[in-house]
Amino acid sequence: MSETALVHLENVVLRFGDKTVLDGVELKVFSGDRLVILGQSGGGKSTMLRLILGILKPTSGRVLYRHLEVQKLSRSRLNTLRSRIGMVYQYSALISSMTVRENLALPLEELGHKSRQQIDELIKANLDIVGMSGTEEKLPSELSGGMRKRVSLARALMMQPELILFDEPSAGLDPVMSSVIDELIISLTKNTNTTSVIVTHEMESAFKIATRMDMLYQGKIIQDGSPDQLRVSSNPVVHQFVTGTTEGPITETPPHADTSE
Amino acid sequence: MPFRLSMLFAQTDRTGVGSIPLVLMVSFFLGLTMALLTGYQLEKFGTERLVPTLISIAFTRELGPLLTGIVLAARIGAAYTAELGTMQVSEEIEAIEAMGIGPLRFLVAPRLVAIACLTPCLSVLSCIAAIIGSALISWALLNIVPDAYFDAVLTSLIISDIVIGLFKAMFFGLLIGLIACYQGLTVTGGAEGVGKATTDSVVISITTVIGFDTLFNIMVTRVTG
Repeated sequence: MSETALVHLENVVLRFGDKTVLDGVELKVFSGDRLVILGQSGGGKSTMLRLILGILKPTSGRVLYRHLEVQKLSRSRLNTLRSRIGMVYQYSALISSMTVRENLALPLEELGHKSRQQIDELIKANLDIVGMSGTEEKLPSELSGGMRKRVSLARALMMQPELILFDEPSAGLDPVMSSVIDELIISLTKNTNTTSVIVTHEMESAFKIATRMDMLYQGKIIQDGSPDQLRVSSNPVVHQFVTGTTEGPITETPPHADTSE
Repeated sequence: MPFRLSMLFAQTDRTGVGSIPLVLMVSFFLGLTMALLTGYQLEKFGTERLVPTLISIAFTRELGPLLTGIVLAARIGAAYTAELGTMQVSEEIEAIEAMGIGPLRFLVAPRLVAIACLTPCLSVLSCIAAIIGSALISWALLNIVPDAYFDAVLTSLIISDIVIGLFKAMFFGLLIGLIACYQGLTVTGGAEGVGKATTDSVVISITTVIGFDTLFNIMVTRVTG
């Protein structure tokens, strides 16, 4: 592919003390991708999302967002960049003391230049998209896990981002809710023309959502390709992960375990 | 405005208004007890008339700000740390940062401004409550009528004592806010981490407030002789 990547992790190494979490990761995300990053729990997948957002800095290597080196941006430019990226957290990370309406309005009130009426209209539109209309005045504690995740997705959409990062979108959800979230991710990226990076180790969701897949193992991307390519991969690690068998090179605990996940 | 006014008002309400009953009660009873104990000792020398002077100077310059600081460290410092710590472990603070909103501006600044502005106000209330408490016990047990008591208080108070007390209170508030927010934002390790940070926050805040108070008193005494 010769087009310029929206996000490029260029030979990224990340160490916490003497623990190497990412060991020379090469990753490109192109506009329109629904890129699923596979890997063991604690293997550094969520860490890659935090690097893209500039929350973590690589020990070496670069994280580029449309030619901008994320870690070298000033605080104000980094905040501007972050406002173009939506993030949906594993446990939703909604502000627990704020209602759904206040949670959704927060990024626009703090960063945007929209009127109260425009913000209200956007809240309504985005709650409609995720099927959560009528929950505006509820607190996050009054919602189920799946509902919180959908509100979190609506919040990520408020700034009309060009890239949405999903950290374990179906973790902890029942199969039906998990499918609802998967469908939402697919329809959203199609309808709003956004790019998505999804971190997961749930294979069914991964194959349903992905247009591209990368496998992270021992701090490196060991395979990049289409879902079909990964499904029939001859790489023993990828094969073991995709089929979910206990026999193979993958050990129970990743040697590069990242405690932040 | 660098931060939301609604956030500032919410914080001033819980920091200031919410702390009034506790500050008043603690100060009232401490003033009462101080007057009682010192009064009995001074009575032996026939100098119990010095009680109003002693209480008013002790509270405006020293005990009012110190007592308010300790109450706020326990009540508000702990709340700040627990609240921010819980937000930290549930990734809420990271989410705020990821949206491009500075958590320092959004969460810390209103809390710091609220506690720094409200501690002197509470300190004034603390002094008033202590003086009223001591006046009541002086009237009941030391035969000092309220009129004479308050005349003595007004005569003995000087502006510099009041200003020093207010300045100290503001600084105590700032210290407590900084320590509490720092402890909250640096929590690691889930619920246990929040508990440990909250305890640390209260212990460090109270120790720092008392330490700073001692240092400040030594400096002021050296300068003013």
